Amino acid sequence: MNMQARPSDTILLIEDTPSLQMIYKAALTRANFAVESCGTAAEGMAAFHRLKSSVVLLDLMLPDRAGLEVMQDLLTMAPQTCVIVITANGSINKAVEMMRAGAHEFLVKPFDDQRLIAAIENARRALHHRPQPVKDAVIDVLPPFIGHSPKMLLVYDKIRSVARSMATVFITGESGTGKELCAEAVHQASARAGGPFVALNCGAIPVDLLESEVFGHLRGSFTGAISDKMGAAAAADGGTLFLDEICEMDLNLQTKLLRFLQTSTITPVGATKPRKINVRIICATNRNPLEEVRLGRFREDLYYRLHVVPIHLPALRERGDDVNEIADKLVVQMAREEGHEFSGLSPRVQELFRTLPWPGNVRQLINVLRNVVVLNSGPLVSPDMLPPDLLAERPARAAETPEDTSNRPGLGDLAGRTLAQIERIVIEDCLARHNGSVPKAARELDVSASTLYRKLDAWAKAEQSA
Amino acid sequence: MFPGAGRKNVNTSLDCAHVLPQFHGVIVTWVKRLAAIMDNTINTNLNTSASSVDVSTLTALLNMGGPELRANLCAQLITDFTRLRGALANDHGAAVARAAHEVKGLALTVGASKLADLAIGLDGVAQSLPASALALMVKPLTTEIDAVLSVLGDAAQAPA
Repeated sequence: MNMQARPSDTILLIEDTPSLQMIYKAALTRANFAVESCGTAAEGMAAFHRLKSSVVLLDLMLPDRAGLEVMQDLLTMAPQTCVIVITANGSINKAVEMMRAGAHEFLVKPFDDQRLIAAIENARRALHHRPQPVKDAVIDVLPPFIGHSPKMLLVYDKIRSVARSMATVFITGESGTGKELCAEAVHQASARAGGPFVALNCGAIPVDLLESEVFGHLRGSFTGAISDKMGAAAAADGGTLFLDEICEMDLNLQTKLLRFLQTSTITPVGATKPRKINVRIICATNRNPLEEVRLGRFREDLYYRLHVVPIHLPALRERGDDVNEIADKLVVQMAREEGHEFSGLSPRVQELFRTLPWPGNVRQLINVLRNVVVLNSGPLVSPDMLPPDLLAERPARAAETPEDTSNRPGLGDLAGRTLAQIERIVIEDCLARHNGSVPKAARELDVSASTLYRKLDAWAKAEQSA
Repeated sequence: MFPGAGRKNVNTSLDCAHVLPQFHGVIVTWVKRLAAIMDNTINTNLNTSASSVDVSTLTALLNMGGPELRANLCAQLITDFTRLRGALANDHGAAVARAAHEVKGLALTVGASKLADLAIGLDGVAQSLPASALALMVKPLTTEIDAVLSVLGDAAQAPA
């Protein structure tokens, strides 16, 4: 996962001997460098995440992890980082090993303050002259996303293409598929990256307050308006406004949003004069927007105004082996945060993860992994560490014998069928019970209506071609 | 300029791992003799504890900032050397090697060259030594740490 934010000027010093930490920090501070010091690898990684330092001074022998591993992680997260290794072990072999692994410079203790400062200045110069990585333009994955599945590669391409324009983006996808991440990626890749990115969840704000949250209000404009409030639209001026769960927006407010999109002006509640602002709109929903239009819950003209460049994020179960790629990276990261030792997933868990339906998508995967990492100590995630309710989600009860299934009402009919066949039986049964209403069936099955529409479409096409 | 800068940090750990399994007994005997020599050398020099630390190096280090930094640094160095002295009193070679490595970096920086030499020697072999030989190697090191602590104690009392 590459880090997106701009690197900071604060030098990160990771050295476990407090006296040496104090000495190096004093020398750098005296030379007018901003320094933050840490005594362990875990603290150092946390500080790096927070500071995004472009120059890191790293001791090779740390109490909790080898400096080499820490350096590799830092360079994986932010390849442009200049890591200056400091060590009391001055062997040539060690120096060569570290330089090969990507260290910018190798300082052997003891070294004088001039040498230290020269190393920092060299690193700064190198950063300045170093060509920006063309990596992002040629490699397929778009950070901070993880995963190489064909569906996600298409998403990355679309994000890169749309980022260059000002067009409104409409992101769809089930809950937990990373819609906000996608919106942020569009913002970060666009020319507006230096401007604000303001996210507003239309579903989480009471209808009465939503107008004020989006457009702001003036003091005294309604009971409780004790001071002027800048709305999200004004706060995003010069940047991007992300309206999540747009289909939850009240119809009256949809009218105002449409006017805002047409005129690029906002009128805060209680104000008489409109104000011109310059924002890019990205919106998202986990519903099927066209279905919402059909049901009269979403204005058709607003839909066409917003639905300029649609991006559909696939569900985790549709992303093949991405689930394991994501899990592998996250489990190591979480283990580091929790101070536990995990290096990845066992082959059995990988197999299981590929077959689970993941109704909560990546968000559910994150919660499962956090549960595992907090309650267990590695090195590999094994099936017995997984929460029992996750295992209950297993769709193909392959482990059960025919005797077992015969004792379960209804399951006997499903024995010997493929997972896809069982899924179709369940969906068709659910639709029949709801008189063909896709939204109602989707609600019962806890999936988005668009998922059901896609499946129905695929089955129809398969039958036609057959 | 940091104090110990310019002094060579010699690494003696290379290749020991390959040699030790075959010549373990010989090395243990050699270590005992070496430790005895070191012990005698240190005992004869104990009264001149100031020679344990290069005074100009330490002074330059302590004067790199204002009086507050000097006081804090003195206190921190005393804390660190005391902690490391405790960490060396361990039967596990890996733990001793780790402490010796830390002593090495710190001693080189404050100009305690004799202590640094002892730490370098121990760092290279600690993981391969039995507990009895380890104790023999650690003894002169802790004695030298005491000498360095004494110098640091004096420095902490002295006016800036």
